[in-house]
Amino acid sequence: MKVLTKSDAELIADIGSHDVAARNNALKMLYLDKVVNGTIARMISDYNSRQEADDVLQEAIILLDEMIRSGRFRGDSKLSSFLIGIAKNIIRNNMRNADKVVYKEEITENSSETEDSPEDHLLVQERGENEQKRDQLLRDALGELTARCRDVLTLYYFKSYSMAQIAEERRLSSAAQAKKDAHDCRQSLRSLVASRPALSNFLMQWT
Amino acid sequence: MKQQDIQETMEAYLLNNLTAEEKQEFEARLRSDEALQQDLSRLQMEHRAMQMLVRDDLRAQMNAWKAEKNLATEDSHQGAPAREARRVLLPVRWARLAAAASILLVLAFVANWLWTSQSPSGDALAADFYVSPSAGNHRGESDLDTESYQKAVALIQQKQYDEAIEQLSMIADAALLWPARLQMADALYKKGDFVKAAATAAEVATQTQDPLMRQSAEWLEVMARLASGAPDAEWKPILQRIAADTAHGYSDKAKELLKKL
Repeated sequence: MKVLTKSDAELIADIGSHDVAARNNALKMLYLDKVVNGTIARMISDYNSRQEADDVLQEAIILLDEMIRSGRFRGDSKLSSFLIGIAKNIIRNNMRNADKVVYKEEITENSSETEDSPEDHLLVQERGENEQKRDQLLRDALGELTARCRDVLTLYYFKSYSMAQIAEERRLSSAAQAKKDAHDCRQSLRSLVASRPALSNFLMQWT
Repeated sequence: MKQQDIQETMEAYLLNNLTAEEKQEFEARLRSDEALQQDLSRLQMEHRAMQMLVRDDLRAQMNAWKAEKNLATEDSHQGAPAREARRVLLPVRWARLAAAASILLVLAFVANWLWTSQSPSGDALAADFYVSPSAGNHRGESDLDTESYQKAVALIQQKQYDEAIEQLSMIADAALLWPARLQMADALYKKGDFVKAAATAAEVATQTQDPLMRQSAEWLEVMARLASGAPDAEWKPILQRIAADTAHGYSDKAKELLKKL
């Protein structure tokens, strides 16, 4: 089933690396991989789900990317199989949430070409109803950030971008200016979060 | 512990960058310090928000890859046979005329090159100093417009400027309007329509609220006017103002260009 032209170890190293071009290239290979795309489309058909295969794949890649970057991906299974496993859980989880489970047939190992792993359950646990509400509130808050701050914080959060790189990317005069921008944008984000009582309630739940 | 140190420790804790010993020490303090618990929760919320920004960015990137792939597929299915058919239908006499015209064009190009290579022309300088404006990770309320924007960015990368301009001209979403106009100015510049590129960039520079976008638009306007052979009065004052403004992202480039001029 392997059609990727790089080994799993290389892809994982690239995704977790500070080299943005290598990281994008690795994610693009996974995203456009024919076997992964075909298997997800077939799983959706097997589950008789109305979900879009591309939406599921994008969500799965985002979660895989986060797991690799945070060091939570152990690498016990093949990368493409693991990605398909995440996608399967997303399909199941979305169907449970939407309460529209209409099984055409019980999905088999052969049809999904994957199996559950402890990591898959860990991912599903992150997608509870409360978290979805919180994310929607956060998304509303983020909508009030300027485009400049969205860009700066995106680069900053990657950590692969030094202040000098942010300055270059954002065409700022110096790294000091980039640092000030990152600080100001972080402050804006903090104020936006603090100004929403509903988000504060979530904070209370966490503490 | 100083406030800055606490902040850094909390960041390191959330990013799993503490040693086992530091982690244990921090968690012990966390259990007994309610204020620290609240600070950590706020920081977690900020991290979550930034994680969402990164997710949006990756989604935009994947949509651009998808658009790129779809275009490549369309081209391989339709482009090649169409080109073949056109080739067969081209009458021989037109082919001869085309060959003659090509020779004349080459001669004209060589003459022009000999004439202009004596000193750097406006368009050559503009080509040296031109910087494509960043497409950013802009998203609008409308999924359709967001998709059009991402598709247009991919089309510009593939040098399909007319198609990109068509996509961008359909965007009505307020959040995407000025980013789309700036990309349109870029596409117009790259297809050689410098006059329209300058006018479009000037519009963005005066209308956008985003200072970085305004700076990119100002630079694009100067480059387009320079490339179009417009009188100095139309672009030199802007260039001098950019050079004088050290906070402007293109200040250094403007100084360098002024030196060459």
